[in-house]
Order: sequence, then structure tokens, then C-alpha cells
Amino acid sequence: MPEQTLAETWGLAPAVLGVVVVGLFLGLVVAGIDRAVVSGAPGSAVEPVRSSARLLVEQRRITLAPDRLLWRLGCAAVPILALLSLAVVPIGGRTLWSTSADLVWFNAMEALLWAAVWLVGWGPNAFHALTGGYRFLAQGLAYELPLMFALITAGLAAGSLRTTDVLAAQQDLWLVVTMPVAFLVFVAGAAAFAFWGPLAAPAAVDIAGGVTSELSGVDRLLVQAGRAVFLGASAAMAAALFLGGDAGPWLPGPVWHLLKTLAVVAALVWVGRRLPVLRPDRTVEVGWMVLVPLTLVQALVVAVLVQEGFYA
Amino acid sequence: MHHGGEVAGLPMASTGPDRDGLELDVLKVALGPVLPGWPTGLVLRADLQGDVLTSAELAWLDADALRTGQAPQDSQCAALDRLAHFLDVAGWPTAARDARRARDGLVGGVDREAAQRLAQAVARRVRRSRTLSWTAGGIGQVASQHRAGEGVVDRVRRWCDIASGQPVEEPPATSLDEVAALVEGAEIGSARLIVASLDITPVPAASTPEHVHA
Amino acid sequence: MLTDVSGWAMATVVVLGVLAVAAGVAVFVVDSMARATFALLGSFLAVAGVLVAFDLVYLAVVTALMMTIEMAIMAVFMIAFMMNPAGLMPMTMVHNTKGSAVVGAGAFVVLTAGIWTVDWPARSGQLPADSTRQLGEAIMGSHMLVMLGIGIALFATILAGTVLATARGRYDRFGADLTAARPDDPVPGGLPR
Repeated sequence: MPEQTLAETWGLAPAVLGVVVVGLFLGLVVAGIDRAVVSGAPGSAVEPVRSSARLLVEQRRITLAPDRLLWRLGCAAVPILALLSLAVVPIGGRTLWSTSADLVWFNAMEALLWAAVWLVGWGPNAFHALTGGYRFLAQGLAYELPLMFALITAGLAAGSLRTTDVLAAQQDLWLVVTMPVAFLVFVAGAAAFAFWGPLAAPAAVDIAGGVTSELSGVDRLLVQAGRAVFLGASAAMAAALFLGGDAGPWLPGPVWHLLKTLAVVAALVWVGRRLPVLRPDRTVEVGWMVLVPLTLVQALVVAVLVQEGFYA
Repeated sequence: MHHGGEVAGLPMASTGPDRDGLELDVLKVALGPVLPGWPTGLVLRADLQGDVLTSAELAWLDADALRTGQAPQDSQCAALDRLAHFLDVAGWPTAARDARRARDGLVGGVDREAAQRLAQAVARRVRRSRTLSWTAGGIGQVASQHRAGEGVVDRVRRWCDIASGQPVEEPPATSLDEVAALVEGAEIGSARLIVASLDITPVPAASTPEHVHA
Repeated sequence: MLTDVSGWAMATVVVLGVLAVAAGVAVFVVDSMARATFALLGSFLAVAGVLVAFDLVYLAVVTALMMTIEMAIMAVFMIAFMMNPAGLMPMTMVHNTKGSAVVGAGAFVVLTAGIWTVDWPARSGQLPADSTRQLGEAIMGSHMLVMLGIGIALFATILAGTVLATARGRYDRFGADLTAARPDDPVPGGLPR
């Protein structure tokens, strides 16, 4: 088990830079795969790069009487939180910084995203954007508890909230084998907090783009990039927590982790893009009435297995 | 707390009773005339409490110009077009893309056979989607005599039948006041789906009253 | 205890402490509900930063997590009933301005004086290697009964609050004899029942 963090191995500044680069790479991969599947043309996978460059030079469009301070704050916070959540995701078996509460840190960044996305919806002083912001919170309340239970279940099996400890606990058996529900809920939760695919109600077409409807230029780039990086970081986290991270034969560890991450992204896009956007009226009840009890039972099963010494 | 008046030139919300017996703010908005998936020129003027429409009024903007600008289409292509628009609103971009490709192929493509197969495939996919019938179910039920209980999903399935080339009796066009009655009390997302699922064509202002209040 | 903390950490604590107080003051200065809410969140996040500087990471992230969700829900309830986007309606978080200023300043002075004059006990024993584990063992070990009691009391409060606040109970939804197959709701949910 590596004791050192990335910051200690490479020095703080190079490590931070490395994590940012990895985050942007994952975000571009997610956006590229998604774009290619949606448009049906593999060549359009480079489209996110092109549109990013265009957005970078595009002039901002201003709405009537916006709350500029909170709007900008929200837009900037989305990608920053995505990168901060990546700080506890293992890259090459090490995390940027390692604490005794990594899993809670990851969850906290996702909770801070509630505030950020709501601000993005609130700022422009526009009806569709605000509706999107509220949808995000309503959806968030429904998936937050199942997502928390899913994360905690992984920590429970490893006996630690440290990501590298969870990795170390999977040398013999991937955690997904004993906690498939937690894995699925975590991946679905990732789609929900990146408001992507079938859980994109906060940015859906029925409210003309919702929270993203009034964004232009750099603001739009920041929010869209943040969503993609969050999705990529969550896929990497799912691969680390439930699919054994860099465990695997023949190939070097980081390659395995990357392959597993890409597999999670591909599966997510493949399943997600076969479905229409789910109306929050429907999903919220499922979250509270089905997923909360289901993840609790999952945690109970794992707790019993821990008592039996199954993971020891 | 003061209500009414203007801030930055915008009228402020006033309060009104809501469906749960509370006094909630009412916001007046005009949505359209260009909304994704909706017929161009359609404007929805609504009172909103949160995202629930408490009163709705639909109108055509420049209906005369819109009517003359439309080319006649055969019913299958029109149904595919309508289906694509509905799927846009329902947030199903891959199915909407296929519907558009099938339409383009049928209109001017080289391989009409392939376009017909694609049309049938996308129609079957949408028709059989349990997710779509779950998420769009239970909204937009028509109360009128001859089509009682027909909701958004039933209408979309009829578009699918027409889109795959089956002869289906065309439903009578829905008037704007019927539509306004349907969306009243609905959440804004449901209202968008309801309108997108209906066959609404612009009518010149001269022959009918331009807007109808529900 | 403060002497255990390194110079850098101490400087961070001071800066974040000032920031927390400043953000707290901002809550009562800004004139929009949204800005007041997020100023309060900023104050809580600064406190979470102080906890990180003390190497109490679990407490820090839990503070950030819970306070963010709490503020977001507060924003929903405070502003959901006022559909004016962007908080154009000027408002203030202060009622009875003079009285509340006196009470607030008084409480601040008393607490600050208390913190600096109390003879804090010196640390007995070593700094734990893993403060999260130590916290968990304290809560789930010797204080388990207290935590269980608090948990049940909180849960009962939530239930009681919901029961008191709801206008439509199960008799409204399922009929007087609770025999309706489907609940009578203004918006149907996602489950087939």
C-alpha cells in the first residue's frame, strides 16, 4: 500500500497540475464519447475541443438585471469542485492528498455542487434557469442519501474512509461483487449530479436548457467542462472503489485503472443515451421509496459480511 | 415584505392562492415564440407558482406569415418531423436524430428503402419504450368525448404508427383553447410535453380569435 | 492547545476566522435572500477550513457537507415561495435592528472573552494518528447511548414536524377507510401504486 500522496511524491505544484490535466483529459474523453454517441458520427468526438475553443473567445450575453456576483461564483465553482473531487481519486494508486475521510470529502464536493448549480440557475434572473436550479435541488435531495450510503458501504467493507485503503482492500476480490447495488447507485448518482443523460432534467430541453439556458462564452465553458470532469472523476472513483482500481494482471496498474474508468464511461453513455430524460416527478419518488431502503439493506448485508470476517 | 411594483423595469411577483391552500408568489411569463421542439410562433403566456402553471393562454404570433411559409408534406414525413420535435422536448436526442434522418431520407434521399426501415425502427423503439411511457405517462389526458382519457403517450404512439407508414386516421386538430385547458395546473415540463405531443398548426388571426384564455 | 499548531496553520486559522466573522456580518448587510443565504454558507465553509487547519478533516468535510445541503434547502424554502429570480426584491435579514445589534454584539463579546479567559486544560496523551477513527470510537463506543438517544429524538422531531405541517394526510390521499388503490395526489409519483 503506498503511504505517500501524489503531492508528497511529485511536489505540490506538479501534483496539482497533474491532477488538473488528468481531470481535463477525463472530461474531454467523456464529452467526446457522449458527443459521438449522440450525433451518431464517431468523427464528432473532437467536437467538444472545437466548441471549447469557440466558447473561450465568444462574448458573454447578459440578461436583464442579473445577480452577477452569485452567477459568476456559481459558474466558477462547478469546474473547481469537479477538480477538488478528483483530489481524493487515486491516480496511479495515489491520491493528490490523503485524509482519513476521503469518501466524505468526495461527497462534500458533490454537495457543494448543489449550491453552485443553484447559483448558476439563480444568477441570470430568468425563469428557465431558475426552474433548472430548483430541479437540481429536488433531484439532489432524492439521490443524496442513497449516494451517501453507497459510498459509506465501500468504506465499511474496507474499514476505512481513505480511498487508498479501499483500493488495498480489493486485492483479492472487487467490492462490486458483494455490493452491486451500491455500485449502480453510485454511478447513477454520478449521472445525477453531473445532470447528464436521463437525469439531465435540470438542464433539459423542456425548460430550454434549464440552468445552462442563459450561459454563454466562458461561463458556459466552465459549467459544461465542470459537468464533464465530474462525470469523468466519478467514473474513475467508481472504478477505484468498486472495480478494484489498478488491480489486474499483465498490464501496469494505471493502465488498468484507465481501462476500467473508460469502461464505466462507455457503459454509462451506452445505457444513458438509450433513454429519454426522466421527469423529476417520477425519479424523486423512486429515490426515496426504492433506493434509500435498497442501499440501507446493501449496507446491512456488507456490515454482516464484515462481522463474519469476509473482507479480512 | 412589499409586493408589486417594479425593480429594474421588471414587474415583481404578486401572491395568489395555490393548490395546497397557501399564498404563493405568482410570476407572469411569456414563453416562446421560439422554443425548442414547439411550433414556431406559438407563445404561451402563463401565471406560474413555482414551476406550476396556474393559468395559461396560448396564441400564434404572425400566424398568417407562418401559414403561407409552410410547404405541404406527406403525412409520414410530417409525423416523423413531429415525432423528432417531441423527442427533442422529451430529452431523447438519439431517437430524435434517427427520426430526422428517416424523414430526410424519405423526402429527398437516394435510398428510400433504408429510410423507410429507419423510420420503422425508430417508431418501434419509441413505441415500445417503457421508460418513455413511464416518464411521460399520466399527463395531458384529453377530456373530450371521442378521445376520452387519451394522454401524451397515446398520442406519441399514434405519431409512431403514422411515422412507420401505417394508415392511421388523422385526429382532428386541437384548438388552442383545448390545449390551454390541458396545460393548466401542469408543471412546466409536463406542459411542454403535452403541447409537443399535440397536432397544432397555425391558424390565421382573421378566422379565429387570436388568443384564447382558459 | 494552540501551541501545538504550526505557524502556517495558525495564520490560516486567523485569516479564516476573520473571514467567517466577516461573512457572518454580511448576512445582515446584504439585501437579497440568496446573498444572505450564501454569505452564511461562506461563513460555515470558513469554519470548515479552520477545522482542516487543525487536522480534523472528518469534522471539516462533514461541516461543509451538512451546511451546504442545509443552506441549499433553506434557499429552496425561503425563495421557492417567492418566484422573483435573482432576488430583485430588496429585503433585510434584520428585524428590530437596534435590539438585535445589541444582542448580537453582546453575545460576541461574552463568547470571545470566555474563549480567551477560560483556563483550557492541557492535552493529555498523544495526538491520535487518525482523528476520524478516534472520533468514531468515541461516538460509537462510550457515547453510543447518548448518540442513539439524540438520533431517535431528532428523527421523532422530523416526523412530528412533518405531521404537523402537512395539510394532506393519508386519509386525504387514500380515502376515509384507506382503501383507495391509488393515492389521490395532485402530481402522481413514479411508482406504480
